[in-house]
Amino acid sequence: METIKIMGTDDTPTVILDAENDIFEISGRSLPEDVTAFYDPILNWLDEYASSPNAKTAFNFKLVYFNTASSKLLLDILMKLEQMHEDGKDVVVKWFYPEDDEDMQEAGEEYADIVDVPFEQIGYTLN
Amino acid sequence: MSEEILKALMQLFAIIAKQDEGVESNERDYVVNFLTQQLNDEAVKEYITLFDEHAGLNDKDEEEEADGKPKKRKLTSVKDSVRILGICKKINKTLTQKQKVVVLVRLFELVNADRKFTDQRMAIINTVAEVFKLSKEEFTDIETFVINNDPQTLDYASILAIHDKPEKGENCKHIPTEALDGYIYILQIKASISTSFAM
Repeated sequence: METIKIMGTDDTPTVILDAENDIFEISGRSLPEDVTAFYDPILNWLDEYASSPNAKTAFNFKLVYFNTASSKLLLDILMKLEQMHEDGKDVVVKWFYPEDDEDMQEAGEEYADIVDVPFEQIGYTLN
Repeated sequence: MSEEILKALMQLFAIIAKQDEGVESNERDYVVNFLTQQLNDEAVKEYITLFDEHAGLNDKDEEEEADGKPKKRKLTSVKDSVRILGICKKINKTLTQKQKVVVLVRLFELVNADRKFTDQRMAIINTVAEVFKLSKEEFTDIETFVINNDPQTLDYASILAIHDKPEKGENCKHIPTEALDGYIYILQIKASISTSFAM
């Protein structure tokens, strides 16, 4: 299946969806002007991937900021992962947050409360 | 309205009102008026305290910067953005579609209290409407109805106007009455449900 690689900008995150190499990651800042146009291809890719996923899917979120509109689309991604989990697939969400960013940590905790999917919180130090 | 939903609504009100430069006094007044219509004095105090807590109004540091200047505009915190989703998901499980329309109307009324339709405030209201699965048509009808303080601009198909003035509008429905000194406008939300609001 085709790989998605989107280089991040000041307003859009870096996205790598590479099933062949087991890389599923969204990182950086997410404040796209048209949030639906940005995230639609990602959601469509996940729909296709969900029909024949890898033995294990570890989806990394390593964001430093996202706006309210993006938060809904991130939830849509998490709900697709939740559906895969409900269908018996091996899925884990890895939520990376800068160690000094309590907001991003708590945002991960809030998402973990909303969706029923294995959720790991991982603090890291910003270089 | 149940205790759980009122608490959820206080959180939504607080998160919206604290955006940009923070809570405006008109917005807090709107919340007090809203609560006064629903509850007794003691309960109003309890819920307005909850609003103040969530809006950070009890935190002195939130009021002004260290140099005494007013607070600068901040981006919506990621925690608040996700908390909004959690609150709306909870509301989705509890309220009917009609009741969710009422919640959206109240959120618009809050922002309309100070007419501060900023990107951040409106992004939250848009997101709430999306999680509630309200249609674009429902959203636009509610927005137009609440934010147009001049009722004569409310000339669209989902409006019923009741008054005795000669200007009837071209698109809205109209009931003439001589017994009314003023205007009554009724909005019918009819995309997926049928419910009405009057102003």
